Amino acid sequence: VSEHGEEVEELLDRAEGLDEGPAKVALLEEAVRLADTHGDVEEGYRARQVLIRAATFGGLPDRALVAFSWCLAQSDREPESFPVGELLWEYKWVVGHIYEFPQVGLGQIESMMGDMARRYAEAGSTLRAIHTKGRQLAIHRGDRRSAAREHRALHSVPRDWLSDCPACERDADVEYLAWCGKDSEALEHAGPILKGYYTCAEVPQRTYARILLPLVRLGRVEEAMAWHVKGYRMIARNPNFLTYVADHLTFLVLTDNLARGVKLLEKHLGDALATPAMSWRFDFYLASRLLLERLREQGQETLKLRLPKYFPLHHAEGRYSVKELEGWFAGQLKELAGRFDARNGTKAFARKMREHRRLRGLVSPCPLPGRAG
Amino acid sequence: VDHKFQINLRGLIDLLSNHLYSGPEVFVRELLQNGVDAIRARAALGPGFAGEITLDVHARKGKPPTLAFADNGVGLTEDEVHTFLATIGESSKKAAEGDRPTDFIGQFGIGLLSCFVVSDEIVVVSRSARPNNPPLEWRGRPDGTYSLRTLDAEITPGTQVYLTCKRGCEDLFQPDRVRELAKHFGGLLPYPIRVNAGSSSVVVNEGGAPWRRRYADEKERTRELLRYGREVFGADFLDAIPLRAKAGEVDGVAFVLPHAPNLAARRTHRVYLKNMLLSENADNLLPEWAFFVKAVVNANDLRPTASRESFYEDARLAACREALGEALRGYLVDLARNRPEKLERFIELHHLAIRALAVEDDDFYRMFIHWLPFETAQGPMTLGEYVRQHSVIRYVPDHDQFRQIARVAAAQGLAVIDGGYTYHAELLAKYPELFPDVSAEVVDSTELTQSFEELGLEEQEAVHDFLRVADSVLRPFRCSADVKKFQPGELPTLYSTSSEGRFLRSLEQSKEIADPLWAGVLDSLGRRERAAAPAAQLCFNYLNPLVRRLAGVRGKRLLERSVQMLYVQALLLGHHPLSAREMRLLNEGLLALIEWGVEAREGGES
Repeated sequence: VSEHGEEVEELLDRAEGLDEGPAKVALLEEAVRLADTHGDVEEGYRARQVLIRAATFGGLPDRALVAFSWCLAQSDREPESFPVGELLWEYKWVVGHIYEFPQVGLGQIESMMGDMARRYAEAGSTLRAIHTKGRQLAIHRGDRRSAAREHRALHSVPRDWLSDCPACERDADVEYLAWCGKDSEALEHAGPILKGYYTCAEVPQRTYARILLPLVRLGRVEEAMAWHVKGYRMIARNPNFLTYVADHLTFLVLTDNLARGVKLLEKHLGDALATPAMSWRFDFYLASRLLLERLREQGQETLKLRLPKYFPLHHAEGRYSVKELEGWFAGQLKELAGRFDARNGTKAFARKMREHRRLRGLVSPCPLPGRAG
Repeated sequence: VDHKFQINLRGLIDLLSNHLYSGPEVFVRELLQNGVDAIRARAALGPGFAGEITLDVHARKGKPPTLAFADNGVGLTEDEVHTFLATIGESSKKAAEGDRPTDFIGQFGIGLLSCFVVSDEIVVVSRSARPNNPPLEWRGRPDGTYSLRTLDAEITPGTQVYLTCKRGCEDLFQPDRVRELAKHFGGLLPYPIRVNAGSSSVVVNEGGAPWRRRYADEKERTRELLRYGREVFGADFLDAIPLRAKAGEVDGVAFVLPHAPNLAARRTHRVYLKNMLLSENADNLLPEWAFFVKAVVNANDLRPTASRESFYEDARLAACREALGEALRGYLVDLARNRPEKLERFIELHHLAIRALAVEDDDFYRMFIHWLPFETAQGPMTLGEYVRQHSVIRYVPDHDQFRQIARVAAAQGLAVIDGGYTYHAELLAKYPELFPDVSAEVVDSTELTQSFEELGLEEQEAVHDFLRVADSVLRPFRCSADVKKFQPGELPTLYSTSSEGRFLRSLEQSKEIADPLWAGVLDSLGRRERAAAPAAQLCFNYLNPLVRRLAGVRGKRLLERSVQMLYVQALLLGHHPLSAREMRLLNEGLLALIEWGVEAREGGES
């Protein structure tokens, strides 16, 4: 083994010992650069394969996309050396995140999904995974009719080796049902996940977050509290779950646990500012604005917060005006919503902004267990 | 009189042995559990009673060995025998789901069942401690038949269970193995467990739980606990920390791992429930950050999960976890205050755990931060040493950038810390919040470049043309050019870029080989808010003699080539992979330089 090969190996080893997150991704990027610096395509490919997974599960989908496109191109050039097998699976990760970047055009997204579908069909897949992604995109764009069509399509073909794992499929169905406003159905469908019959790397923690709002809407706040306590612990350390942290933050506001909500804002704002996935940022800002709005309504004028230096309103002394913060989040939300809606050709994000604000009507206080506040 | 079970006992035994129990050896655990329950029940009848358990192993020539298990507990009445038999039937379904009856008699039946896994016939002789009950003998067979009769003999209260080794289970009836299993499952029990075999007679749990014993001093305690740790886990641990929590009535000992643990691995511990071994793989008893210990713990008041692998997640467990975390924290604090050599060794192995905890916990941070080592441009040092010399903490948040600028920063007299390791940047950023006299600054290479000395007016004029050419050569590479003065003088250039810049470089790399669809997507992805500024800068060093000479060169082609080559060299020095275009620059540039060299020589010779 060459000297740089050993160094690459060592970086991969060190990365393997770390939890998912940016630190792990940084090590793997270093491994990729090292392999590339020595023009070692095979090592570069291998390191990128590890990087794609780590970036996907560590909250940096843009890194995953760039590494994936390189691997796909290498595989297209030399399919014998770099077989397409793993790439077909990874393609789902990339397509599953592509719409989170508003700078990527809708036409490009659709062409990419077409390319993926073509490759899946060539491999003999039932395309169930393609319909899952299609439904996801439709939900993102707020297109009910396409979402329903893809939902039917995906359940009309059998599972195959490229389908999402049963836990993910069920969790995605729960997401769809909740998005349709069918709260009871969503919860019923989530039952087997909540009982622990279905698990994978990200389920049940994603499910725990997404059932919070349906439970609140059904008045089952105490039940929701149990899932909040259990679920937040599982996702607090990985920026990949920012959207789900937003669900927990919204839940804290709706149960009137504002002090705890402020803690979450403080802890995760850095992730939201740093994330390349603008729709996660949008979700987190929505929850943050709701929190600030409630604080202002309750007469809170300032907050003592430890926020990252790169936060545009950062004060060294850490005292912030609630109103000013609220205004900043509202401005950012409007801008993000504008970019997404323009790209998507729909008004889903503007609608989401209005609807989320109306959640204030649902507030029903419920104390956190164990500690007060 | 022969009766008949109303259940398919063979099926049930098969179910138990293959699914419910982790292995056939659990019959020892079940017998011990039955014995302990009986002893507790008898102790509740009145004072002045000392429980004991005895296992007799008989090796027999030409015949399968036997095991007799005896306790001096409460014993069984005839009614109770019928009840436990009924329970076996009733609980078969529950047992299959991992649920167990909560009453003593019910437990007894279920526990006894596990013996059928290793013995074809089970004989139970029992006499109840309650008055006016004759001794009984029960013989059960796995086909579901059993007989029950009263005995004439005079025996003391208690229960004996006789097992005869089944073919294939010989290993489990070896005296060594029996002693080992009895110790494994019941080593913590407060009643003596004696194993007799031939002429040997040994109490396997002499002294009970080692952390509950009395020792002459702290030193002896640690030595004995460490010996226990080696016996249980087969490792030479660094230290032993006593654990205690009111919630859940928990006590035990945590061993400090003698190696750095894999952070992503599951951290499991050996746990006992009411002094009987519950699991070797419990993973939710200690706080998440406690990845530097392996623990043995007994809980009297926590609920096991159905699988009996760990404890049920409830408020009591949370409180217990908190208390155990407190004990570990206390240990670390004591190390920091009183045992600096041990602390040093500990930090060497477990600094990741300490850093993780310090990020979350301010008190802990204050306690440890000054002991933690960091990599700086001047070599490794603890943060304590660093802040004694500097009132500003300057750090670079990632490795590659640090490597890029460490040498230059050191030459400017800046003590820059490498924040690229796990948790380093977070820890450094937090410092001023807790120690307001010191401030912390992120140094990025772009800022560093800004701190370099500007050229004088005349010098600026001298480099004007050079700079214009350099700018136009570098623009296609999203790189701008500047000329300043900085140390060390032998370095001609400093290439600086942000992580965003590096990301864009990797994006370009992918684009070079991608098909048009993907190239388009990558192009879009690269369009971000901050993309307006050039992603990188090449700063030429006017203190470098070569750069000075270049600034005086008038030939545009030579100048362009030189800039290109310096650019490529700077990339290579900074470990940046070259794109295909940059590789072309390098190749063409090398050839051109050779050509010039040859031409100059030929010109000179002719």
